[in-house]
Amino acid sequence: MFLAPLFLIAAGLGALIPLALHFMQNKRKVKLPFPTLRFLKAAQKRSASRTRLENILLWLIRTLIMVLLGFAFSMPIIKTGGLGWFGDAPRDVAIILDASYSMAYKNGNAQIWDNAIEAARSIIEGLKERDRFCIFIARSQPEALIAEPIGNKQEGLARLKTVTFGAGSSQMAPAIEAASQALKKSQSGYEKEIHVITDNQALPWQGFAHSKTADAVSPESKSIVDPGTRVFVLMLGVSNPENTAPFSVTMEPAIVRKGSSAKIKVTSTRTGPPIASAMTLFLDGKEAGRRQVTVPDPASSTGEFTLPALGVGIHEARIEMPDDNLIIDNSFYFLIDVQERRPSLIVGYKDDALFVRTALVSSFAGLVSMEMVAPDQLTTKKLTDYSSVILCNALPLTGQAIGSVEGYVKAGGLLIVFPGSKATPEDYKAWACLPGVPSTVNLVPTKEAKTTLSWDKPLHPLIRPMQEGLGAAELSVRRKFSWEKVNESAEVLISMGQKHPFLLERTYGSGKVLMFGISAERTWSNFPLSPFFLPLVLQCTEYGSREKPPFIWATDSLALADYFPDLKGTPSMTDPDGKAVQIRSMTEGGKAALIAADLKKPGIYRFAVSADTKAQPAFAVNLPRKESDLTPISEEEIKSLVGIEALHIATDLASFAKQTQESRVGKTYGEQLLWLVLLLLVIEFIYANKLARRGRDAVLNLKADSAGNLNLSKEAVRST
Amino acid sequence: MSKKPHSASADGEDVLIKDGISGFLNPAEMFKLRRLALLSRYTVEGNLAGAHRSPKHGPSSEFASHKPYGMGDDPKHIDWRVMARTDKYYVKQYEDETNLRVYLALDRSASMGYKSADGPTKYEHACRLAAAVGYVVVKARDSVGLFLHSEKVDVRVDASNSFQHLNNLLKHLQKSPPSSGSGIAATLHEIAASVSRRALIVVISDLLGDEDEIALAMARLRKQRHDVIVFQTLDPAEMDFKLMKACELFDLETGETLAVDPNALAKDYRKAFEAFIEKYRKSFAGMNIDYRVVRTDQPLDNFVRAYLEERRRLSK
Repeated sequence: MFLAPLFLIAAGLGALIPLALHFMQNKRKVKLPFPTLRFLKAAQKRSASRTRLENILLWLIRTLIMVLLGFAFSMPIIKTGGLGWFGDAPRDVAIILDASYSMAYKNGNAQIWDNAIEAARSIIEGLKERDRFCIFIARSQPEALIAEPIGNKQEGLARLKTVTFGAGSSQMAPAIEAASQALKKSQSGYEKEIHVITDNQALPWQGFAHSKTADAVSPESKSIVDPGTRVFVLMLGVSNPENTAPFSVTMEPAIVRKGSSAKIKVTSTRTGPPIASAMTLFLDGKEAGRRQVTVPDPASSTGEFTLPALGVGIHEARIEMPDDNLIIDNSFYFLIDVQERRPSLIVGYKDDALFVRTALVSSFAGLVSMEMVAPDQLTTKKLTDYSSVILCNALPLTGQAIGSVEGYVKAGGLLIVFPGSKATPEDYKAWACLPGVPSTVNLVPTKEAKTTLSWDKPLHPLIRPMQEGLGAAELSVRRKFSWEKVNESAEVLISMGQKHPFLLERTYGSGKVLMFGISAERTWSNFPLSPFFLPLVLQCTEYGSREKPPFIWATDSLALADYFPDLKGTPSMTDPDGKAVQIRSMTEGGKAALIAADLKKPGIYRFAVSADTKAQPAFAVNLPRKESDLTPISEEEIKSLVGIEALHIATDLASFAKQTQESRVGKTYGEQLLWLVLLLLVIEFIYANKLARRGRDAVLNLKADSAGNLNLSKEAVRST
Repeated sequence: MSKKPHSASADGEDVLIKDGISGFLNPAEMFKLRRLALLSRYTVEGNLAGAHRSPKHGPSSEFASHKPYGMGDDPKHIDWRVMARTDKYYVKQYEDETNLRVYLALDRSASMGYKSADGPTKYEHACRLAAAVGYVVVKARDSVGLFLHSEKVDVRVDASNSFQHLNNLLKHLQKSPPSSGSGIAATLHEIAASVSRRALIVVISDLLGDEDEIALAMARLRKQRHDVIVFQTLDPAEMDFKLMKACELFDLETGETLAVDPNALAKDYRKAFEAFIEKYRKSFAGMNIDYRVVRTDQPLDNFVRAYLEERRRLSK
């Protein structure tokens, strides 16, 4: 097909030009006298066949040039898709805009996001009258800005202005799937196109890899777009991005007590070649330390800071790294909650809690304080005043007591359960937070009484500090639980004998539950008398006493009760910029819950319980660091990951528009033909010149001196 | 008496020169040529006493041989010393010295009318060459004659040694432009038949005829003991063949036409032309004929001067 077929006539006529010129030249030849033609005839006889061949070759090249020139101007196209002959069929376009925070990367003077918005605007403005479009924002879950194709460009442009990039990552697979679903409603006769505007980051495309793995049995069976839909990807990012960001913060010990020091370890992440950088720690707004690091060298990319003695209260802290092209992830916020030492609450009767109480009082007096309460008096205690609650043969408990304890755990408390003989397996089933439910209590035969404890999770924070020096731990067990079921989220930290759970752990809400497989009584085993009983009990009371994590990742919503179990009334909350955060009340499982919405801005959020009280730090919110990995993806990788046949990738708006046009109308080969013509012109010029030069450069070997004496060259003499 | 003819002669010469030679040679050229001489390499038979060796015995001071005294011999030539030794009368004989008769055989075939660029035609150049040679010959009091020919001898002028004669001879050249057709070999045979006594034949032509026939005619001239000089007059364009554009060439003699692309043909043309020249060179060298190529773009006085100097040097 040709865009300008009239030029084909020109091509035909052009082919005749060299021939016509040849004849015209013959007619217009100058007639000159010459003394004799005998030598010319001899020369012509000798070179006739060669000259004819050269002339035919020249004529062919010149004819080819003229024909190709005509062809080039007639704009031949090969149609690859589209319904109309000249790309005039209406189309439905789904625009997908990557809104991950990596789009904030600065490319020159502008952010990629600004360029992406401009590209989306350009696509919308370039649509024809009958074309329609819809817009999807690619985040971790796709967001439909315009869910169904519309034709109102003004509305689309207006809505586009309201979009900002988010605080998290984006996934292209669900976004393309959503766009494809929206295009399924297109009328017949409409072409369907999906335009994806993103940076060069590999992360958004990882979803395709996972779905491929899931569909490994028959990868062809599932395609997320219809066969007739063409997908265009505009990658506006840089090919070699560089980014350095603090990745995570850990504190040792997890609980910072008044007057004691702690260490902060900060890991960093890096995209790009290794670079020397620095980490600066700010405490309550003041610089508290600076460390030089080399990222991404694993050995030296971690910065360690020793905290000075801090007063009781919540301290704002942040780690900062130097500015780069992606500024948004250069700070990492966290809170340091310095607490007074708080007691543990032992729930049980005197005899049942004898060994636990004795262990805590005698061995660690001054370090760990404790109180004791009878099981039936548990509800009289305010559990949040205690760092841990230890149940020593305290079951069964009333429903109110169970609810109180579970609420305490959910809010970040630590519950340690030593079973006993008073409870039946049914008493355990009433609990929702326990890591496992025992079925029976088995008597162990004397022969099998001796058993060895093994550390199933030697690197677990509870086990690691006490593992050294204990060696093989042997027990003589007389009774033990037979577990009916172990919760899926529970972990076995210590086992007895042949993988029989001895200590189970489960995270429940923000807190933790540790449950032993044997009692702390002498009648069950010699465990209370063993050398590792005291360190294990102390470690358990210290472990998990943290009430709140030092930071949270940016999220859409957060249940406040999980972090502030004692919260009464509706607090007022502000984001890092001092703007009010929306808190709404929801009913969850019959209970009213307060939900803070849209915690996406990194920084310190504050809240005040009432108008009279001073606002205090509530959360330190950070952007999920997965998105800081800007490792680029190549076009080939995208094509192999996505597996969509009609996938076109461009790296700038001009080539994107060209690809779109070529895909609809077809690919024109005019330019290539013009290049070919240029090449042939060069060949013709060189060849014709060579032929002309051959005549001019031929040297007459005949020389005569001033007296007319001839000096013939050897060649001439030989030839005669 | 002696002054009058001289002056008259001088006056007459002046007038004649202006009318004849001045059409071919300017005073500067004549000045350059004034002391040159065209010597024959062989004995010649002249009709006057001159500076050239003759096959006959004559009154020169160079002893040649003795012969028995006979009736009619002048007694004063008897060699008395020989008579005293032998008692027989012998007469001394001396070599004869005669003048040189030079015949200019000038080709006026159509091909001689060719010229390229702004230069002279080959015929014009040949006429100037003939005038220069004639001037040198007459200046040396030798005789010069002319055979002007195309397909046949068109003009024949017998040899004489006066400038007036030379002037008349040159007037024939001026009156006869190049004609059509060429028959060099035939005319050379005709010349050979008409010049019986030994002379110097100067052939001025482009020799664009059959090489073998021309060589045969030259051989006949040499057989008759003529001294032969060949000046092949050629135009630079026909030697170098440096035409810029494709054109149609027509043969000046046959009228035949041929479309040519100079660039395509130049190399092969030059090869063919070189072969043609070389054939003459070899052939004439074998016959002891002086063969020279004269380009029309070459200064004529320089050429004549260089050639005559070389010939004089070789004659010693």
